[in-house]
Amino acid sequence: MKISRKPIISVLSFKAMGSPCKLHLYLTQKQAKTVPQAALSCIRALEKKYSRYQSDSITTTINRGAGSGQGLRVDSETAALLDYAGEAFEQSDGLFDITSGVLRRIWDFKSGVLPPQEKITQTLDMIGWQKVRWRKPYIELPKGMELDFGGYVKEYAADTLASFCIEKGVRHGLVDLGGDIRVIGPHLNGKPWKIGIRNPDDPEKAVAHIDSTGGGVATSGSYERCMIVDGRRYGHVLNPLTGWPVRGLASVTVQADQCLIAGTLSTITMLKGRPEGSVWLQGMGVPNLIIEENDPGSEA
Amino acid sequence: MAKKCRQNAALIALTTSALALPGINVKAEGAPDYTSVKYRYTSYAEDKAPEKYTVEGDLERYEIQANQIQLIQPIGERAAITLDYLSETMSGASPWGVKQGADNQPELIMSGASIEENRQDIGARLKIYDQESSISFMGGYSRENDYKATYGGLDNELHFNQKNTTVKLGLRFSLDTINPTQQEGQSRVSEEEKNSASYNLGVTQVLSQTAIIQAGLEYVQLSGYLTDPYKLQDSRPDVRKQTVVSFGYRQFIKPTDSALHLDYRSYTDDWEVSSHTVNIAWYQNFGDRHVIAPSIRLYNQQKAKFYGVYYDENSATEYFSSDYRLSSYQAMSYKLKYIKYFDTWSFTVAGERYESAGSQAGGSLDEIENPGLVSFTRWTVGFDIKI
Repeated sequence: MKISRKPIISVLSFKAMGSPCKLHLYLTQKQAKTVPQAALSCIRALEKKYSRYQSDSITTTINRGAGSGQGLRVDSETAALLDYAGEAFEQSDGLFDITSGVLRRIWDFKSGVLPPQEKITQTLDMIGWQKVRWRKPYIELPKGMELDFGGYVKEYAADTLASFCIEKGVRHGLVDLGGDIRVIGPHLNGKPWKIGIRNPDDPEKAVAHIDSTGGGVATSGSYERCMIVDGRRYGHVLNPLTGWPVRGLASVTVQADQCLIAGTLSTITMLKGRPEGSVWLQGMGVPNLIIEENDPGSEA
Repeated sequence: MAKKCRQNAALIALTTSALALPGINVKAEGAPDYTSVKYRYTSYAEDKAPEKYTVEGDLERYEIQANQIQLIQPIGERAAITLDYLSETMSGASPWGVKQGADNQPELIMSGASIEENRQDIGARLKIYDQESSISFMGGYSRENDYKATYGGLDNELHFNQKNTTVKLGLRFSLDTINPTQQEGQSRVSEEEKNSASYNLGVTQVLSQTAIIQAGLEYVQLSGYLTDPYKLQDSRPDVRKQTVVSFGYRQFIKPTDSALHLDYRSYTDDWEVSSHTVNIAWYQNFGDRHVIAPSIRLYNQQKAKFYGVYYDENSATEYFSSDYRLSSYQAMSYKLKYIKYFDTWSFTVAGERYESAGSQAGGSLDEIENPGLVSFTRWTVGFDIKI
């Protein structure tokens, strides 16, 4: 009898939820035949379910019903995601808001032009989780409002994929969905994964490494998209209360048990800015790395 | 400080919310997708009978060597079959009875040194998994020179509340035949039957990501020849109704990477035997390759209504037994287990020391410690392989 069938590392690269993704999994021969494909279908299903670009997604269905005066019944996973969004809204004093996606309509970071304040003020009327009628399992949006799960569904997907792989018997591996990371377990030899943290000024380079043998790591940063207008930098992370890009922090990386929690904490910290966000995050007692913006002009 | 507390409360609130998500809180007990083999060798040795109380027979008590193999083989994606095989070899003397000696001193009568006896047990279980439930069918056969048992059962597991709650229902039966080894000078029954049926209900509730609570209720009815054919003056009722209530608590302690297991069991039966068992175990992880688990078990039992340390011909009753297992006593056992994990297999070694003593509540006749009370040492080594 052949006793040992040592798992071998397999790396699967693909694009999902608008980001380059990688699954690093130690798989036995038997697992290698089924697990990567099944994991891929698992993420495709989540992508399809919550994408705002697909006409039959739950997001589109909810948004299409805005202003209809009729509550839409959602499934239990969506209900749990909505409850989570409500909790994050509460805990962030309204900064983590899944109705803030409409700001994207007026902020075009490729244009190099700031939207007029009047337009921003008008758009703010269509933002605010407190205006949404969420009576589990029924959701109803006021006219003009939109939900966007994009702010946390990728982190949730990283956790889901990791759970899925664990269920299939995988014990060593890492799920990386565009920088939202969930570690399943250490390398086969017990060594931790080294997770690089991007340098906001030079995203191809790492400024630091975090060691992880399990749990989630997520980063929020304003470096991905931004524009410079009149010598000032405007990042793509928008404050739902003011409608303006947040200032002060270039990137926030958080390590937590779940990637979802890590992502939520880093997003809230980013939105709170400097110094409030840093103080708030230190109080959470989770490992983190905050990189402040080095542009003094942005701190007005 | 107050602010810090509030912020940690934020983390707890978010985590609680996140744990309601199906992709995060996965505890689905899915069918295994690999074959696993488990082997255990156990060496069990009872301490010698007390020399100063033993008036007849051999002092060397039971020794058992057992080999156990278990194979779990998935069948398709929704089922698995488990095969169990046990072979054990027993040798040594056992207490036959206790008689009254001078000054009320109990005198222990042991059997003579027995020849080696062998028991073999083969069992199988088929478990079928569904999305929110599983069902198992099991059966088996056990044979030794003076005892045969055919057993079977059914288990049904139901998951609720996003698999945070599991309810388990089980049925068991066993049909046994006793053919005592005959010995000159002893009048023993030649063939007798004994049956048992048991019903159990268990509930497991996940309290948080790190805590689980369990509760169980079991009812067992034994009927038939329940007397020990080898013991002197032993005569027991032909029905025994047993009830067991149990509670368990599991707490994972993250800062130290360890787990605390607390278990309590309460037993009562209509022979008026009752007992309480408390088990405390600590599982300490060292990285993800080593686990050391010390545990301690405390046991306290109240005697059966027809138990007496020795037989009194003047006040003979319908039922009587001087079996130490039916006496009032206390026991304590200490165990240390070590598990080493490799990539596809693990190695286990465990040692246990068990000691029992009479409940020294007073000086009356029934509180005399039964000299047959046993103490033993047990060693187990084994491995688990995933293929």
